[in-house]
Amino acid sequence: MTDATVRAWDEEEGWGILDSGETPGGCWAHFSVIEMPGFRSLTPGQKVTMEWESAEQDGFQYRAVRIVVAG
Amino acid sequence: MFAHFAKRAAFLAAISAISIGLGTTPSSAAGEHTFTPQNPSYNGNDPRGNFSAQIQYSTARLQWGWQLSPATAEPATGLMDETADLYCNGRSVVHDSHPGVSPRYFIHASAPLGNRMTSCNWDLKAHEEFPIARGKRTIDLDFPFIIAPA
Repeated sequence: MTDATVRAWDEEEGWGILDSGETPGGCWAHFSVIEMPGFRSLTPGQKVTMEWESAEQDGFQYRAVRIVVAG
Repeated sequence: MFAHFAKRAAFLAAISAISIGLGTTPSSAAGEHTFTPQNPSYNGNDPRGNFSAQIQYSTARLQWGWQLSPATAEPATGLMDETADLYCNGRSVVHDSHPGVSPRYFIHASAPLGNRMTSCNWDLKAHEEFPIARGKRTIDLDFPFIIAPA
């Protein structure tokens, strides 16, 4: 798990971009990998921890596979 | 940044076929999944892929995503074409497609449900196909659901 900050989140589409030291250029993230109850969404500036994989996804080289919202 | 893919993918004849019937919550007579304000999210994982959907009640919108597992995508020898339709009471009301993407691409989309959000018997159907060494593999997803009022 690595610390990350939410750069942008599209509330309508349910995905966004996270920044971390391990994912230069940004990491693509979908609501489905967020570990939280109820409607899953993130807010720009929010601090999270995440696991990621290398991938080609919508112009990004990294894709989140698990996101845990900081308590 | 958030450009939406909207080009229609061409259908090709399928030589091999896999149907994925996602597990649904038996919370209605017809066996559909029921979204509620208390439980607006759904994860339906299958050995052949992971499917998720959620309802944004405040804007009457469906968000969903679907990704094939590494084992399902591994035989691919080329790019995948995907198309999806959202049906309200059997009638297609939203169409979406992702032509020419990697078989491991994370398919994602959203759709407005409008004032019929809680009155429809919804059905999300997606179709994916990609070439394999001896023909094509097709994968179909069918997710019937209803939405309880807030």
